[in-house]
Amino acid sequence: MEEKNFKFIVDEREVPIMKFNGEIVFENSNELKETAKEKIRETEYQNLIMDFEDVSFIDSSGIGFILSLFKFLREREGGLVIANANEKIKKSFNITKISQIINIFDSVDEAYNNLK
Amino acid sequence: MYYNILLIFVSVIIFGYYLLKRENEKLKNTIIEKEENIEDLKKDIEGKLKKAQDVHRKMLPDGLNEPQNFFISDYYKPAEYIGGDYYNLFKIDHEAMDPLFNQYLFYFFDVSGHGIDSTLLSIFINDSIENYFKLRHNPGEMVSTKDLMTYIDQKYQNEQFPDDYLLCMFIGVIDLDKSQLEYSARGFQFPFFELDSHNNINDYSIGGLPISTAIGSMKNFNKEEKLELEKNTSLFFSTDGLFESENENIIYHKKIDKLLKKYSFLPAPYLNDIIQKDFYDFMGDKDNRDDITYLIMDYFDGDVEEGNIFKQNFELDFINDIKENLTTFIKSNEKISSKNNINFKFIDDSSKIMLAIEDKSRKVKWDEFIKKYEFQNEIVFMEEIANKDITKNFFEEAKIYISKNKLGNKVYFLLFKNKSEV
Repeated sequence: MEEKNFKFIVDEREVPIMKFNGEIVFENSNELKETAKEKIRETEYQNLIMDFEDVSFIDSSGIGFILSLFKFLREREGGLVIANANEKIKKSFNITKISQIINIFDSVDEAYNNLK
Repeated sequence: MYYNILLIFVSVIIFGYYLLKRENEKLKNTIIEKEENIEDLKKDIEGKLKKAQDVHRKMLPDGLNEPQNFFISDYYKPAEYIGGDYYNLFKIDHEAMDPLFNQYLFYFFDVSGHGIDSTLLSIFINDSIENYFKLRHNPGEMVSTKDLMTYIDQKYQNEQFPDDYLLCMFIGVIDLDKSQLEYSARGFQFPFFELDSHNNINDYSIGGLPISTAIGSMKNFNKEEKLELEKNTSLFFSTDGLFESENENIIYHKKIDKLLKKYSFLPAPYLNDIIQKDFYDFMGDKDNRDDITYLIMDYFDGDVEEGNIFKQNFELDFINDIKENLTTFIKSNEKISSKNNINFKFIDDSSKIMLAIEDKSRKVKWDEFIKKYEFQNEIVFMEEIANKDITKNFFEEAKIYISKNKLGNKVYFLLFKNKSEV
C-alpha cells in the first residue's frame, strides 16, 4: 500500500512529506487515510506536506481524505500544506475553497518555508 | 541389499505420492467448498443490495412538482446499486398565505462515496430539510437558502459523522413572482448552465467549502446568490459524476457545452434523451465511476394549459386525435378504472407545440397506446435513438417526437412549427 500509493519521506529539514501518486479517489481514499494517519501516529511530527507532484486526479472522496488529515493534524496542534498540485487539482481546490483553510504551494521548498 | 533399498525408496516415493495426492484432493475439495461459500455469500449480498436498491429508488422523488411554465426532466443513475446523490423540487407550503407566494424549493446534493453509507447520509440530509420546514420555517416567511444551508450544516455537525465524509449541496428557491432563482451552494460543484433559445450558453460558478465535520460548522461561508430567470431559457444542473466521467483522457465536462448549445432548441425531456445517448456513446463499455445526476429546467414563454385531458377542449387536431385514441384505449383496458388521474400540460410557443400527458395512477401502458396511434409513420420515439446516428436533420424528419419520463407514466409529444428553424 505505502509503496504503491505514497512515500513517507523525512529529510534533514524534519518536516515529513507524503508523496502520493496516481489518483486519490473513492476506491482508495479510505485505505490511504488509514495508512497515512497510522504513519503519522508512529512519529512525533505535527506538520505534514502533501506532495501531489505525481497525482493526476482527485475526486470528492479525495477532498474528504485531505480534510480528514487536516483535522487529524490540527488535533495534534500541527498543520498541513499541499505542494505541487496540477492545474486540474488546483481547480478542484478553488471550487471547494479548500485553499482558504489549507495553504497550497507550487513547490515542496515553498511549503517547507511556510511551515518553518 | 541395493534392491531392498531401492524397493524401500520406491515404496516411500509411492506412499509419499499417495499422501500428497490425497492431500491435494482434500485441498481441492476445500477450495471448491470455499468457492461455493463465497458464491453463496456473493448472491446473498447481491440480493440484499437489490432490495436496498428498490428501497432507494422508492426514496427518490417519483415526479417533480413542476411550476406552471416549466418543463423539468431529470436523470439519475447510481454508480453501484445505490448511491449518495439526491435531488428534489417542491412547492413551498405557505398554508393560508399560499396564494400570495409562488415559490419552489429545489435542491440537489452529493454525499462523498456511493454505497450504503452514502445513502444513509442522504436520508439524514432529506430529514434535515423536512425538519427545517416543520420546525424553523413559518408560513409566509421567505425561505433563505443561506439559512437552510446553515441549518443543515449544524445538524450535520451535531451528529459528528466521520470526518472523511463530505456533503456537496446546492439549494435554490425559484420565486416565480419575482422571476428569480436565489441559491446557495457548498462543496465540489461544477458550474450550472443557462441556455437560451439563441444558442447562447452562460455558466454560473458555484461551490465552496464542503459540509464536513473535519472543518466544523462554517456559517460565515454560506452565501446567497441571485439569478434573474428569463423566459425561453433552460437551466442545466449536475453533480460532479456526469462532468468528471472520463474516457480516453477526456472528461465529459469538456464536451457538454457544445452539445447543450447544439440542442438548446429542444425541450428538457428531449435534451435529456440526447444527453443520455451522447454520454453513453462517449463512455462506450466503461461504467460510470460515480453517481450520475442531472436535471434540466425549461422556463417557457408561451400559452400554457393544464388539467385533466378529458375535461378540456382543444383546438388542435393532433391533440384531439390523441384524446380520442386515448378514450378508446382506456375503454378497452379493464385495468384503467378512472380517467381522473390522466392530466395534461400543453405549451404552445413561437417555434413548437408540446403536450405532456401524465397518468398518476401509472396504469396506462404508454408503449401499447402509442403503437395503436394512427400516425405511426410520422412518429419518432426518442427511446429508440440509442443506436441511431443523430444527423443535423434528425429533428426535421418526423412530425411528432415522442419521449417518456423515467417512470414511464408521463409521455411527451413534440411538434415543431417551422422545421427550418430547427
